[in-house]
Amino acid sequence: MRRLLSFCTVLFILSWAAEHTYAQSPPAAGQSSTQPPDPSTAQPADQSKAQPPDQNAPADPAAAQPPDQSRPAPQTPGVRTGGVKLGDTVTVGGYGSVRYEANTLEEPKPSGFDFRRFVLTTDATPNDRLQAYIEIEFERLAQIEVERAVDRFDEGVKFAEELEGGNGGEISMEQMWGQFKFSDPFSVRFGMILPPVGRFNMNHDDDRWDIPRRSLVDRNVPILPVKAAWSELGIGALGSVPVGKSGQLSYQGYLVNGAVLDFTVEKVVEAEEPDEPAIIKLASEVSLGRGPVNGEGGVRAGTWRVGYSPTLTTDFGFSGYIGGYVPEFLEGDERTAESREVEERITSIGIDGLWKYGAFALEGEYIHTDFGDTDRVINGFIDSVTGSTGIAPLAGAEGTEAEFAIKDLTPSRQGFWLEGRYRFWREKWKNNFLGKGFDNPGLIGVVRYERVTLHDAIEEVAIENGEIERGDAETLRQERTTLGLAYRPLQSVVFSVAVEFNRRLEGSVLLFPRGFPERRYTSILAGMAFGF
Amino acid sequence: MALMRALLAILFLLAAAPGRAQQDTTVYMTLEQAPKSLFPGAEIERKDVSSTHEFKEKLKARLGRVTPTVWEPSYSTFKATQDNKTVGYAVVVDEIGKVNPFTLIVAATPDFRVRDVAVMVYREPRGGEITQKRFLAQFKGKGNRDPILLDRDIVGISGATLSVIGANRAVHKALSVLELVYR
Repeated sequence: MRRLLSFCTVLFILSWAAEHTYAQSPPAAGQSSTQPPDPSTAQPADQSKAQPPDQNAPADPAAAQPPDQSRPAPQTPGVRTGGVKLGDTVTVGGYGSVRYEANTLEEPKPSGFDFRRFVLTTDATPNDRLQAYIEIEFERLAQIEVERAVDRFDEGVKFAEELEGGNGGEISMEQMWGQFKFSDPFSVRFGMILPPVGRFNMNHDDDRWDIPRRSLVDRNVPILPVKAAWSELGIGALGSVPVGKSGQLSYQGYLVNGAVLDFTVEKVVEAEEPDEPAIIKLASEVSLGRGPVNGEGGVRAGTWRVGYSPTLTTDFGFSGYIGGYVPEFLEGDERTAESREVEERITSIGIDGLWKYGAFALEGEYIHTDFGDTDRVINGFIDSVTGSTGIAPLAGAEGTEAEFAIKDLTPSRQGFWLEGRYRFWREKWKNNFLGKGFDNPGLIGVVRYERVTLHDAIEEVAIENGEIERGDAETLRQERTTLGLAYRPLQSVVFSVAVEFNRRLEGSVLLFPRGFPERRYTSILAGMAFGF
Repeated sequence: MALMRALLAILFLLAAAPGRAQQDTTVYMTLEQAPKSLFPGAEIERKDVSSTHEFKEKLKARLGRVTPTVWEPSYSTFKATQDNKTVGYAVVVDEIGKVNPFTLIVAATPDFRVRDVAVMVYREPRGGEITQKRFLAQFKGKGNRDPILLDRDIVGISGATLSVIGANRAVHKALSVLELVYR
């Protein structure tokens, strides 16, 4: 690995040096010695792209513009702007965010400093028709440390392995795709993509938002089938076409492996009673997550979005996702008729929009997700664990416990968020500590209202110690109003404070944080996000 | 680990690939075509202005808080007349969008307000939305005393923020150059 890294580093340095020796590099920002290109000598690869002037045309901006088919392709969805250029073809960028939270919840109080995430992006464009994009996320991850040891002693040998890491830490490949542009309105993308349901999942970069917490709809509950940033492996097409004088119609459509119920195995060492030996507990939990990426499970889903932007200040979209989510191991035994029919589907529909008027912007999203007949899924799970007998496995050996659980099933969910932002600045502030040295700093006042509902939610069905415990279904509903103030010295750097007012509208517990009994609670957030 | 190796290898091989930035260049108008396109039917008188140290200092003072990313060694400016009456001025300027410079021609009215903006050369595969009519139309009527700032009097384009900021700088610079040369 070290040799490979060294080789790649040497290769990169050599190529960089060669390019900068024999070719003129693009000018660097802020350098007074930067020389502009000469438009009179710039020759296009395709001379037909140079549009001759129309002497009879009126003095209108349109007259100076090329025909629509000559427009460069719009920014591809999901791709960050900015970054540090490596050579002529690769740009490395990223973003990071941290947050402080205090709230009025009782113990266990989720508060304190929170390393939300650091994301590295690599955008490789060897040609304007070819693009590769990679986004790797480190979320709440300070370290992972693995220790392995072999001890040989007189009576035998001991193999030991120890894994250390913080709670909730995650490394995730959020995007990794290649794209081939057939023409401006039609490109094909292949790889790990972001399902374009709603507008947040595609625009999830923390430095883009002025409130230091993602929405209930997309992240905290979520109403999306999988919390943002949700990615899936697949292939699809995307593009955009101009409509009328100022409109733009865009589309994306993908076939993907699709979200699926998958299992995790939890290991617990637990001291339950005084003077009793501790127990070792193994729990297999089945819950919904992003689809497999190992070529198993088949292509189960499709996702799409059609967007229309009639003017520069207005943009709205209609999106969806449909696909099976029940894995083969839950479809049960063919001997029982009912279990054979567990082929439920997720159907998500999203409507989203953005409208700007001067310094004011209004943005929002509504998502409805249906999971089909979740009772059948639960029965399929019970059938699988009990071998279609309905009899739970007996308790394990003394000192051990085994649990099988399926979590967080809801026949349908829905929710929306609506965010209003107002950007303001006074010229007299340009020399104070907020404005000095920055071209276009700004303060943004922001209000967000969200409401989410889980219909007939079952938090967990557990099979343990010879018993099947099926939680009661109940509808849970919560609303959250957030007032915030953000300061942006640069477009990609934001310092923000916010107050959240949460209220449980229906059900016995809160949806976020899940399970807390409070009727209302208030949070204070302070955050920072940066992009490059 | 194998995946990481493959990714690293792809990343560095792509970085090591020979420069092909020219393939991303789109020329919409040449220097000869651009002023005629903005002032159809008018007589065009070209004047190349060298950016001497003195000129640059004056330009800097006029630009104030705006810091261009490109300082041209000279400016191609144009005066358009029709029926012996000045109908406007124009200048060609460059600014950096994401990493490469793009070339704009900015036409002004006789009272130095933006009459038209057109992209002559765009050199990047990203941020190309700034060549759209609906974006450039926002500059019409702007003067050098207007903010010409993203989210203040210029509506941005999601995903093309850096190019939008570059276009704002370019228009500021163009108006300042024209005022210095013709006012």
